[in-house]
Amino acid sequence: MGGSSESKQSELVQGTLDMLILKTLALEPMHGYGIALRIEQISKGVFQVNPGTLFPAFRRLERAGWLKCEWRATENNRRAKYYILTEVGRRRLKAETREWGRQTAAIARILEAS
Amino acid sequence: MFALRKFWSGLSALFKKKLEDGELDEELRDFLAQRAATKMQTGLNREQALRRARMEMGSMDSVKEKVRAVGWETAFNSFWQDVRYALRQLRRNPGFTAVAVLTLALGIGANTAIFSVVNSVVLQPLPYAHASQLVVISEVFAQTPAGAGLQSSESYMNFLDWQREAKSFSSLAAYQFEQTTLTGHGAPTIVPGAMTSSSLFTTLGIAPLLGRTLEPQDDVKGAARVVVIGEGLWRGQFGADPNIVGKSIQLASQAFTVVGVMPADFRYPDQTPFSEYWIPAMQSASYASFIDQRAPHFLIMIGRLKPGVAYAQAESEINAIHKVLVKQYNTLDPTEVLHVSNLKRLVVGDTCIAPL
Repeated sequence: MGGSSESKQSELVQGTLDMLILKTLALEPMHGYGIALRIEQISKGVFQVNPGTLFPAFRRLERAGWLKCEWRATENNRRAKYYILTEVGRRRLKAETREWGRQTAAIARILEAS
Repeated sequence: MFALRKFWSGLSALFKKKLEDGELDEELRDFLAQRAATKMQTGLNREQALRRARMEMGSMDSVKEKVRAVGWETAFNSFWQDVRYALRQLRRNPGFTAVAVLTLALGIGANTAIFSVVNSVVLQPLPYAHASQLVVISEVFAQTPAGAGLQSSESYMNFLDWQREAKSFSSLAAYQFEQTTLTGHGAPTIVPGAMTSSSLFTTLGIAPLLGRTLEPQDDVKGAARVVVIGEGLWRGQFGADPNIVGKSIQLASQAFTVVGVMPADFRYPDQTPFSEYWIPAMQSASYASFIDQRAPHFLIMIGRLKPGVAYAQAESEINAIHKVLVKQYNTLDPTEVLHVSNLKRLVVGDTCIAPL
């Protein structure tokens, strides 16, 4: 994902947060902070995920039926709301990933043309 | 399916609002605590870490607001809040409330009243079969002032010629309002009605409730006196006598045989009060002195066009017939021009467009 050597944090590309959340949850169910942390870590700190965008996204994805949630005990025995990718969400992720690939390839071709 | 799910989850959220809010609260506090814990690992003390985390997150309330704004039920909730607020305000200002309610009530009432008139008079077609074929024949003379409005009046003799000659019409009729005195049934009563060519009933296409309508043999001069009465008169004066047909009644001191009863919703020519009897034009005492003259114009003439005949076509035909009549009879006004227009014009007049 846009490998960068800079340590500067950037805003997420518009409309990609949903895809990143779905992708993160494709591995295993996670709670809100875990998801944010995972996105930040895997992007090597390029993306900072703000709760003001993260939680509305959870709600939106849940309403769309791509996520469901469940209160579970955490590793250190507290309770937390875990988000789980549904089957519909999994299909959605596939479609979005394919579309993203198509778009970035197209953009790269445009940028490389001279 | 998708929309249904959204609707359903919104609906359940409406009822579980408290619970969801509590959960969201917990989730956000948790998020904050964990974020702070992560920051402490980089060497910040607890206080600093917490403050940083708070700053990054912004106000907790604004985050919650954004989350709530996702579903449709939020719009519903704020609408409901507005409604309750409005009701509270109204209760607090009874004077204003009374004025507002009264204004609305009067406004709605007046609109409804006017619309029901416009609707029944202007918008609805006349209550006859194939109402668009029904026309009124009106005339304009050289001395008719401009903007005089619709004038329909013909002599019975001219009408008979048109009725015989004109091919554009499946039926032509001529009539005039009149009233008579009904005697012999309790106190003498003045009854509104019409004298008419028998063709009025076939032109409008309305069947009688009992017996028959007027028929061509009744139009003949010297024919037996007959009358068709309205359902209102039949019920009111004759106690809905099922054997009324064939009985004799006294109109203007002359005996008329009742040949039929028209249903209550037939009250043509529609004037207030409604027509309650119809007699052949030839037998009208009121118009007897000029029924067989050409110059006095006193009959309203209406007709039913044959299917597919245009108004203009019918108009040129009756004008052509009229030219022949003018040559034959020097009592006729040669400047008379006839017009054919929808029968509605007779009811609504030329004001038809104004209310719209």
